Amino acid sequence: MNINCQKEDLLYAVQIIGKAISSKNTMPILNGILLIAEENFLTLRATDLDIAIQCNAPADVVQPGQLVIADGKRFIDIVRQLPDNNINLSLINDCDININYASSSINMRGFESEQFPQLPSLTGDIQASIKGEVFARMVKQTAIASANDEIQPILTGIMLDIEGENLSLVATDFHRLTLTKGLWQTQSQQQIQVIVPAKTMLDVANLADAEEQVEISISHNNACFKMGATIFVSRLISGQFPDYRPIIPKEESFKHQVFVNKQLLSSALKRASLLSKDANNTVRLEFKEGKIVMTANTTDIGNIREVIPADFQGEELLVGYNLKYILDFLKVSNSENIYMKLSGNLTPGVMSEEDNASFTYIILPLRLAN
Amino acid sequence: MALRNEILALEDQLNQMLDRLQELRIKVDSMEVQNARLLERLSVENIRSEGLEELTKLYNEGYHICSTYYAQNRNGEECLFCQSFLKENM
Repeated sequence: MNINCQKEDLLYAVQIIGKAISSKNTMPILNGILLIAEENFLTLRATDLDIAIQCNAPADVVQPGQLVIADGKRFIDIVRQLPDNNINLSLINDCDININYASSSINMRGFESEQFPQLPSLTGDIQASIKGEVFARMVKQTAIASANDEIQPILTGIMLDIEGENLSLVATDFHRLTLTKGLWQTQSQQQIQVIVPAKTMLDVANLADAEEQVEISISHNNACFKMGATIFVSRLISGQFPDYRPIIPKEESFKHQVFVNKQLLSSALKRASLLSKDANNTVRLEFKEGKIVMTANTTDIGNIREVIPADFQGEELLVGYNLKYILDFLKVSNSENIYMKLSGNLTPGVMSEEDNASFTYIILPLRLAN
Repeated sequence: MALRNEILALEDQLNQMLDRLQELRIKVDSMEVQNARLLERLSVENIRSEGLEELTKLYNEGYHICSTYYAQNRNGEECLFCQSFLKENM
């Protein structure tokens, strides 16, 4: 193998695949990066067996070939520090690699490529595509409710509820639930639910080009995302996602509705977060005609009271919330104003965007002490 | 002749009484079946209501009653799925 490439192309590719390099794995080869030189590009791949990421970098291939660089993370650090010009990578001693730059070189140990795990099949039962911008928005909005609970791995994922061309994404940590709905292009009419790790979905969303299509393939144990020169393959999380449909409150159950400017609410809550230091980050919101009165306090720090102008319909109501949960919604909301619909001070309420009915955030209030 | 007529009249009355008895027997059988069903339903509802009471108590004492986290401590936080279960079954 002998190739020439530009540092920026190589750096872009290694930084993407670096997310899949295992640091705890007992198989030494999984600490490595597979390099394949063929045609006009260098293919780089890493995997920890839960995810595999592959990316192509444009290259001038003098001699095709492949090998695994043993210490993938160190290779990325080295590429980062290389001068900004042409890089030559060449195979020496069967499986070591020479990194040649300017008139200098670095030699790194390697493995034979045959030992590196194969990329799982990219052709699944469901093949679909969705515009990068739509996919990224749906994933980022849904992921806020996914949990970090390793005891219940299903809650660390985003559930894809697929019905033909209708795609719903759902996540919950049992205190709140997000549901985003969208359309993707597919020939499949299948009705299926699969759970993909939220972290992988976010990595794909962050990488997706807004104007390009994300091609998605779902098989019985993998989900594959293809965007231009990059492929993500993720193992699905096995288990039964809780039935989310009964959680969604019926429209007729709401007795109170608030319409408020996102920026005003967000700024007030950020100030309150500096004074609400209990375990639940409690903030009290008193909904009154024309306003929300926000209060928070921590005995040994101090207290805050703010009045936020808002359009409120219904009887006056005092509700306690974990302010972090509200801020999470506001961070991923794209509209200028937001709605809060409530049916009581202990029952789930719904937050939604002014101009987007396809994003629903269900949030439980806190039980306030007297 | 008079005695024979009296016997025939008695036979008629006896047949009518037997018919009536048969009708009553059918009615009693049907009522017994219905009664058994009602008792069964009442018992199921009692058990169900006692079960729900226990689950509500468990939830209010701070434990999950949803299938995912059943009997685990809620650590003071409310649970969407426990609440939904209680609401659906109330």
